[in-house]
Amino acid sequence: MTDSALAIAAAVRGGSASAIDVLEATLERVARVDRALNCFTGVYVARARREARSIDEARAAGRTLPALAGVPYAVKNLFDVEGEVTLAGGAINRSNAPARRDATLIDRMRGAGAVLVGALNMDEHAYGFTTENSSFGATRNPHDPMRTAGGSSGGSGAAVAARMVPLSLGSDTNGSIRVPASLCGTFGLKPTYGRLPRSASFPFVHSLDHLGPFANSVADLGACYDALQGYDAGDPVCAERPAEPVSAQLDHRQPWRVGILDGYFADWAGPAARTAVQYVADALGARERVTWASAAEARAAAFVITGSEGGSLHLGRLTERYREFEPLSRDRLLAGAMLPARWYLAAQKWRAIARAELLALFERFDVLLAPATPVTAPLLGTEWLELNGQRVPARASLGLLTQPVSCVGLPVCCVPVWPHGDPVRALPIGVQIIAAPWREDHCLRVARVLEAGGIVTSRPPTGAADGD
Amino acid sequence: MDTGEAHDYVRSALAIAGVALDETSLDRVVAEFERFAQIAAGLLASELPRDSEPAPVFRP
Repeated sequence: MTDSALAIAAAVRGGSASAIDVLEATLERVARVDRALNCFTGVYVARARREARSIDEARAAGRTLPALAGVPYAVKNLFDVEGEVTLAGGAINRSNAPARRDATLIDRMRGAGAVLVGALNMDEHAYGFTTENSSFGATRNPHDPMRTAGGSSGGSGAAVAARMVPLSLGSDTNGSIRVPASLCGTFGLKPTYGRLPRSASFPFVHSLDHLGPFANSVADLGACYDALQGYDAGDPVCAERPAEPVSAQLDHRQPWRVGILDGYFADWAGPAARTAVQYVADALGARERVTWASAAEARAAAFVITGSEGGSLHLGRLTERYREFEPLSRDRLLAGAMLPARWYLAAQKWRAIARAELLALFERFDVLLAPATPVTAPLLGTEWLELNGQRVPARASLGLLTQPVSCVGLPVCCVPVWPHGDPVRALPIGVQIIAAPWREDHCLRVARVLEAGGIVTSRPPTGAADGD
Repeated sequence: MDTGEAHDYVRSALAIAGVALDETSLDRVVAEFERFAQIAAGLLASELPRDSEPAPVFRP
């Protein structure tokens, strides 16, 4: 089976493949490969077969099939799936009632003809960057199963990177799409805050939560993003904007004005991350380095807002059932719930200041480049990293370079870069392509330029993670 | 805020919230709180403009 969503959809629409055959091949691959990676927490065989058969029946009846007809995909297990319990990575949620409806984005994927295969592993309640989940096990990196897949949407990143599904959906509060995309070597899109509705998904931090897709090509990412767009009154944050499809424009060229974020982003990037940004910048002819003066404050603000809002969300159950929460995050969650209001309000003020400063840079640039993670995928269980001359906690620090950007809500496409040298041992690392609000098209079009030039690409894994 | 003050603050705040923890767990929460305090210090170091808006405008 091809790993391209658009190629699958074209084959299903054209009749050279049936949706049910594509699905059965997907289910076989998931059963074989996921033993080594632990991406899936649920596989919805009966539902997926129903959805695939309905696509085949529609074709047999002569109906026009939609853009993602027959394309298998999976979702982070914080999306509501009708009849299933929404785990949000937490064993404590197992006793919750099953969801009464699908998340809005799942409705939209079904409308586009995609077939939901299952639910994917994550850090508990999305509070982490490594998908080391004490209840459901760690998700492993397809390029080296001894290493983390990143998080919190680790299952979403690894399932796509391992070619189990060509598309997945995840969430990004502080970097939870971009960190696993970086460490697993896939493309990931965190749209503008408020672009995609979060209705019927498990929240973490209301004022920072985003949803978005993963894919192995820019064209697939754009097609999935287009299927997801549109206003939904069910999410009060969702902007009342019409859908602005990008797929048809991906190859429209224009001279791009590209800046390189320096200062904070260079300080906290390790050697591989700095090299990756320079490689991408050289390919785009970008030379000008610019400083976002309050990037550190934006990261600090995101850290405080996350602790305060996320901790408060769970405080009721933490009071009664502390020991049932994830040991890796429950103490931080509880500490977050105790933060003084003054800290939270200062963080919100800094957020506005940081936003204004970053927006000013877009008067001179269409996109800005920054590393997505400070390092390539650490070994599972890594407790500390040496960065910027300091010893910092590994699990929280993988998001150091993504947090400032999601704090101010700008769209970002994370693109995978590979080092030169031994391709078997190479690990990918991501570069963030950041655009002004609502200009996801800029992120994706620059990503497409890089992909077409062979600068960024998603490579299939080799060895055990390929099911061999 | 030193460790003793952080410990006293967290212990009191948890009590008000109705959370009962053993001493080992409390120490871990205090350690996390101190990390928040260290990171928040940069946000509190300077006086911000009085008219800066700390929260989204509520529109009834």
